[in-house]
This record gives sequence, structure tokens and C-alpha cells, in this order.
Amino acid sequence: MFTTSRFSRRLKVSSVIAGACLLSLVASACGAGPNSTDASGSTSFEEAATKTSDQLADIYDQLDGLGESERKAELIELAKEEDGPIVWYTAAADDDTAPLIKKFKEETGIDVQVYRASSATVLAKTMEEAKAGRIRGDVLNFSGLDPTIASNESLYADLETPLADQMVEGTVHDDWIADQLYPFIVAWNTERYQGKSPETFKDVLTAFGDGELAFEATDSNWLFGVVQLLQEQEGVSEQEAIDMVADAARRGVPVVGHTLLSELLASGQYVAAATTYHYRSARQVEDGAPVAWEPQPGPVITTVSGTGIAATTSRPASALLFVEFQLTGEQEYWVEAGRTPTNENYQGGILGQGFDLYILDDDALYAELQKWDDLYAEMMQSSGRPVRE
Amino acid sequence: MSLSQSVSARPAEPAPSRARGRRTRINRAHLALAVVLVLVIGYLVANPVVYLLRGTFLGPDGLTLGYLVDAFGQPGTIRMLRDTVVFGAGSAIFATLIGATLAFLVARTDIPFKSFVTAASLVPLIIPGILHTVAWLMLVSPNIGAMNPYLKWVGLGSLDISSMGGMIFVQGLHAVPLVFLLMLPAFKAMDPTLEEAAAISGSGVLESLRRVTLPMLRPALWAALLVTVVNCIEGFEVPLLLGAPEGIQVLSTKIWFELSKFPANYGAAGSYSTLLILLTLVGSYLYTRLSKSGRKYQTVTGKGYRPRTISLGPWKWLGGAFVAVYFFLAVVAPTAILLWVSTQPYFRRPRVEHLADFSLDHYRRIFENPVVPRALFNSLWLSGAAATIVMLLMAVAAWVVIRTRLPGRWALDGLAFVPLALPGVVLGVALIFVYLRSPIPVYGTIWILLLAYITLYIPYGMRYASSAMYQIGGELEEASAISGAGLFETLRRIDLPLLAPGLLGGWIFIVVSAMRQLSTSLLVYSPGNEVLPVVIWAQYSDGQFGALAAIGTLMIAVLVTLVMLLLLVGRRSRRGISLDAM
Repeated sequence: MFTTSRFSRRLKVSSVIAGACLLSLVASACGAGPNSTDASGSTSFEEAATKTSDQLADIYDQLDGLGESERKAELIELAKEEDGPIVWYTAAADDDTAPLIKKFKEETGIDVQVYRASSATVLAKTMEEAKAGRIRGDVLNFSGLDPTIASNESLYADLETPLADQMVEGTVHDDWIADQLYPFIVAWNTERYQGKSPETFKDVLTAFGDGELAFEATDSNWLFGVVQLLQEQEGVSEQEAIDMVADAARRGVPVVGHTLLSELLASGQYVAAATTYHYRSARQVEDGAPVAWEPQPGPVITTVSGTGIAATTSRPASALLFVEFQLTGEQEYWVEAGRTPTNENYQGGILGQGFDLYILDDDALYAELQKWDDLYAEMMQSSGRPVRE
Repeated sequence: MSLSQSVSARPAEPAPSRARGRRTRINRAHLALAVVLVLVIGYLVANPVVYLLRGTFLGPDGLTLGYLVDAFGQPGTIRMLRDTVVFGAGSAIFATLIGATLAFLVARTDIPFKSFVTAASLVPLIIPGILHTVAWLMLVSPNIGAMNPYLKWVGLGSLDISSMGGMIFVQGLHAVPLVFLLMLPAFKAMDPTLEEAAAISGSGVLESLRRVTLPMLRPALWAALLVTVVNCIEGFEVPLLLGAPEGIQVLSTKIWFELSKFPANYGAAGSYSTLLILLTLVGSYLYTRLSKSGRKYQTVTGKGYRPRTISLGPWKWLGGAFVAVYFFLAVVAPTAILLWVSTQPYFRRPRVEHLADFSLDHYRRIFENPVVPRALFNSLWLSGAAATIVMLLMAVAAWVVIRTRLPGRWALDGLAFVPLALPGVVLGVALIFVYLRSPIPVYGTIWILLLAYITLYIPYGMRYASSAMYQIGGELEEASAISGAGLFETLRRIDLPLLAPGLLGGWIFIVVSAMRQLSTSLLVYSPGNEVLPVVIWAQYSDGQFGALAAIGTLMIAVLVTLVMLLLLVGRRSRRGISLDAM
């Protein structure tokens, strides 16, 4: 039997647990919940975005009509009036960010701090910050479909730059511009495959036996692209094209991560890979790995990395200066590093080698994102299973 | 009186426990301590849990079970759950068998090479999960496996690590240190008089092991198995990299895929995590019930104890061979393959002719990266601080749960278990969510990483502290109280020193694990506050596999050197805490 004091003691301890939970509930209760994808919903975000937009409009007015070098000089002056280093959110490689920041500082005298993670992680963090009222980054770089998602979530401010005219077609948008191309290429291990190079995507999908062709497990945007190209090359319907890929996927092997995919291909674990990144395979060829990727079986399906000014930045001139650097100085760096730039004045990577590029229509893909994600996930799950459960 | 009677007769002594209980019930200091602990742990744990539950049960139109129905209604869910159970239980049982055997051999027998085992047992823990998994891909894959020709030679055929068996093996091997560190203090703290009594009564080594040693270790064994099951179910890199080629999906990879989508499917991920939380709570409850009559497991009593080394005679060489095989599989084989990859321009099978391409370029790249020293410094102090805070906090929490009779103390144990079931990404997003809105100014600073690590490792701290606590008799505290010591003096002078070996095991586990923690770190770190896992991930995502292997090799070298130094210092000091004491 409970005595009063025992009962009150039990109540006390229980209420403490409830109290701690309540504390967190209160802390967690404010703001949008996890299932809200509307990053731009909060009033404070809208206020900050409007302020940035107004400041940018003034800057665009001041720069209007200036020549390239005068514009840069004026932007540097405006940027120096703003406080603190530029904060750059990016999915760019570690080995690339350090030399780029150094190059930018040499050109402008302005410091940059970098937060880098996978594109999906950078996007998740940016959206959480937007929901809470302000994005902490000034310049936002994402890759794949993520710049389009960021644009649809109003994470970017409007971007006006004369450099837009120099970019590869299909890479310029109202609020972001692609700063690097990521071509998906078909590559094969020359020790394990000495046959004829695949000439069409149908060849790629049918030439290899069980367990020989590897796919990166999350490349649903490649599926979207290859289905469009199969329809053009083979004159088949969308469903027939999907079935062709699904057949190959059942015989193929999914590998998680492009790095592992390239490495396992070079080591000879797989005969060919349908979705490696160009720069990785090209680097392996330079290093003497038994890998080949030329010729390609058709237009090269290409995704992008995109950059833009954060919608709520308090350093709009600095951010614009850095974005313009990414479309010029950074492009020079990409060429030296064997990557594929987007500014046509800087030919390098796969650009200028006679390949047709098929730059993915991210808006069309975004409209049917769920469909292509689900289809690809199902294909990858069916690996080694002739009949899906 | 038979031996089993003599052991099981111990909990039948009711008087001390009641006496202690009565004293505890009127002690306000105990209650105050519990209140503070519940507040601290509750605050840390409730943030991500509330976030998770909101994502699972709160839709745009209010409360809903829709996400739960959608998540578990997906085709293939039953297969996924079945594979999760097989994978989690299989690897946990494998890890527990190996880890407990190793701990027994090291703590209680006279096998050779003992001094290496403690250092060696930690190596799988320090190797980043991605590297450990890929190393095994390089060792046992049909076309490139370096070990496959030898496996064929011994009649095992060409094995494929990308299978359920391979997943269980690699995950289990990775979890062995967790079990080893949990079991070692328990074996070391055993009272040999019971075994001596068994021997006098005519029991052989095996019989006394089965009837005396193992029953005495039940709480530690249950703790190890329980925490390892959840740890293995949460294991992510192994099923992701080895399961994908076979189309095997488990709970952790399913959660990863759901969170990788856009928009991230927090509803589905939360539903799966909620299942994991429920399972851990049930496990925690069952564990507490099983260990309720804790006095029968107490071996460090007021009567003094001195662990005895069992002489295995000629069998010691079989024990030595077991340790050697473990050492080869857990340390030599993966380290050798990483060393090979780190000195080659790209990934390829070890062959003599490739030695011509030997290069230290990958190592040079690491030392040229300006972020590495900063990240290493941040990781070292953060993981050390998190481990210290967690172990001290959990030592007191374990004391409250095990020693006092406060109502609701089981909830404290359960609360401390919950973070084990939280996916790292969910914790990361929850921390961002909360601290962007909180008046506590930790967002964008290094302190948010410390909070994350403390939250993540509370469950491990609790298990290490409580399995050590179960071994210590209450009469030592009673003697202290009778001699006039207060609560805190007793904790400081009696409990903490006796718990030290167990706490040290937990401390090491947390330090090493935090040095590798990626998913949460990647979300909450800020520019200038990089930690080592972020750098490691960067090398991987940049396709610099050789550099990643070089970092892994250096981490192993540093860890093994540190542990060996600790062992050496431990041997030379007569008093104090050393790894040898564990």
C-alpha cells in the first residue's frame, strides 16, 4: 500500500520525467515540423529575403552598364564594406575548395569559410535554417537535382550577371547557374572486357552477363535521362525503355557511391559500370588503371553542380562577387583539374572533345521525381532476383 | 549444499536489501540526484525523440497514423524486417561469442599473447566503417578477393562477402570490441572463491564455467548482447555496401534511403525508428527484470576478492590459436589490405608486380591538407570530453538505477537507452531544428557537436557503468555510510574507484566511436569546427580512396601505439587505472 509520502515521491519522480519531456516539447514545438517542406514559410525568412532582394536590386543597379573589369572592381569595393568572411555552403570536393578559396582571396582580398558535406546534407541543413528564419550561408552550391529543389524552395535570391551569356546552354536559371558539369559515362575494365565498345545504350544494357554490369544505387536522374535517349535511339515507348533498363538491372549489380563504383570497376570486380562520373574514370585512365570509356554509346547524360546567392544573405555584394568568381576563375581551375566547366570560354574535361552532352532537364525530372526515384529504387532492389517478390 | 544452491541462495538474504531500501527511501539526496539526472538525460534525449515522433505522427492536418501505415505497408517490408532480425541477431550473437570468449581468455586464463589482445581487440573499432567494409570486399569477393585463392585451397571455395553470411561476419567482427570491453571488467572482477568452491566440490573447468562463471556474468552478458543487437541493427555501412548487390535491405539502410530522398521521408524513417525505439525499450525493460535480483551477481564485496588465473594446461595453446585467428581476421587482414590500397595509385588486387607502383602520395596529401590537424585536435578533445561527461553522468545514473529504490528509476534506464535507436541523421536534423530556435547559443559552434556526442553515447555509457555496478556489493557503501561518509563522499571514494575499470572500458569505447561518428557530425559541424570523420568522409566522397585508406592506416597505427603505451604505463604503476586493470 502506498503511504502519502511514497505516493508523492513517485509522483515527484514521474513528474520530473514529464517535466524534462515537456521542456523539450516546448523547445521542439515552435516552428515548422519535420514533414513541412516549405522552407520559405516563416515570416522572419520572408522579411530577411525581401531585405536581401532589395539590397541586391540596388547592387545590380550600381553595376548596370559597367565593363567586366570595372564591374569586378566595383563589386570588390562593395564587398569590402560588408562584414566578415563569406560563408560558402557546398558539396564541392575538399581538395578543390581550399585552392579555390586561396585563389579568390588572392584576386579580391576577401576571406571565405566553407561548410561542405554531401549535397543532400547541405540541402537539409539549409532548409532547416530557412525554416528557422535565416540561412547562415551566403553562397549555396548543390549538385544533381538539388539546385532545382533549392530554387523551388526559394532558397536562392535572383541572380543577374552578364556571365550568363557565356554559359553552356541549359545551365542558366533565374536564381542559379551551373558551375560544373558532371557527365555520367559508361566505362569498362579492359582486363575483363576486350569486346566491341558498346555503340548504343541498348548495347550497354544487353552486352553484359549476370553480375557484370554495375550501377550506382541512387542515380534515378540517370534513369530519367537514359529512358529519354533509348526512346530516341531505338524508337521505343517509355515503358519499353524502362523495361530494357529493368532487365539489365536484374542481371546487374547496384553499388552504393560513385567512388566505390569506380574503384571496384578498376579493380576488376565488375566488367562495366553504367553510371560512373567522367572525371573519376578519366583520372583512373591517367593513373594507368585498366579502365576505358571511349567511345560513348550516345549523348553523354550530364547532371550539374549549381551555385547561387542565398536568399537571406546579409553580404549580397560579397556573395555575388563569389558567384561570379565561380563562373570565371573557378572555371579555369576546373580545366586544370580535369573537370568539366560550364563557361564556354574555358574548354576542358569532356567539353571540346566532340561528345554530345545531354544535360538533364531538371525541371521535367523534378515534376516526376517520385516516379523516377521509386522506379530506380525498385530496379536496384531487384538485383539478382529474376522475378520480383 | 550443492554449488548451484550456494550461488542462488545469495539473493535469498532479504535483510540488507530491505535495510538499504528503507534508508534509500528516506534519503532526499538520492531523490535530488535522480531529479537532476532525469532532467539532464531527459532534456538531451527528448529533443530528438520528440522531433522524431512529431515527424512520425504529425502530418499537415494534425495527428495521423498514415506515415506508419505507408511505411509498413510498402512491398517487401516483411522481407526487410526478417533480414533485419537475421542480420542484427546473427551479428550480435557472433560478436558476443567471440568478444566474451576473448575477454574470458584474457582476464582469466594463462593463454599466450595476452598483452596484444587488448590493443588488437580495439582495432576494428577504430577503422572507419566504410573502410572496414571495403577492406573485406577486397579480401573476399569472387573476382578480386585477395583471400579467395587461399580459401579455395583449404576447400572453402570462392566465398562472396556480399551476402547475408558476409554481412553478419563483417558486422559481428566490427562489434567484437564493444562486447570485449563490456565483458573484460566483469571477468576481471569475479570472485574466485565460488569457482574454488566448485573445484572442491569436484567440478571440472567446463562445469564450473557453465554452473558458476556464466550465471555470475549474466547481467554483463545480457547487457552486451542487448546493446550489441541494437548496435548491429543500427549498423549501416555493412548492409549498405555488402547488402546492396544482393538486393538485401535492412531497417538502417531503409531509413537511409528514406532520408536520402527529396523531400526526406521523415514519416517513414520515423516509423522505422519508432519500431527500433520500442524494441530497445522492451529489451531494456527485460534486461532490468532479469537483473533485478542483482545481489546474486555481486562479486566485489566487503570480503575482499582477488581474481584467479585459470591454468588451461596444454589447452592454453588452443586458446592462443583462437586469439591468433581473431588477431589475423580483425587486425592483420584488413590492415594489410588498407596499407596496400594506401600505397597504390588506384584500387587493385595485391600482386608482386604492382609493388613497382608503390607510392606515399596519399600520405603526403593528408599532411598537406590544412584541415586535418584542426580536425584531429577537435575530434580528440570533443570525444575525450564527451566520453568523460557521459561516463561520469552514467556512473551516477547506474548507481541510482541499481542501488536506490526510487520509484521510476527504470524510466531513467529506459531513457538512457533510447538514443541507441535514433538514426544519426535524425539526431543531427533534430539538433539543428532545436538549437536554431533555442536561446542556448550553441548553433554554429563546436558545442553542438559535444551535445550530439553526449546524447549519442549515453546508452553505451549506461551499459558499461551498470554492468560494472552490478559486480559491486552494497555493503561497501553501507560500511562507508556507517563510517559517517555522505552520499557524494561514498560515490567518490567507494563507487567510482571500484567502477573505474568498467568506466575506463566505456570511456575508450566512446572516444574511439566518437572519432568515427559521421552522420550527425556532418550535419551539425560548422565552418572552422571540422572533425576527423568529416575529413574522412570528404576523402571518400572525392573518390580519394587511397587517401582514405592512408588515414585509416594512420589511425590504426596511432591507436595501437597509444594502447600499447597505456599498457606499459599501467604495468609500471602499482596503483591507478590502467587498461590492464580492465
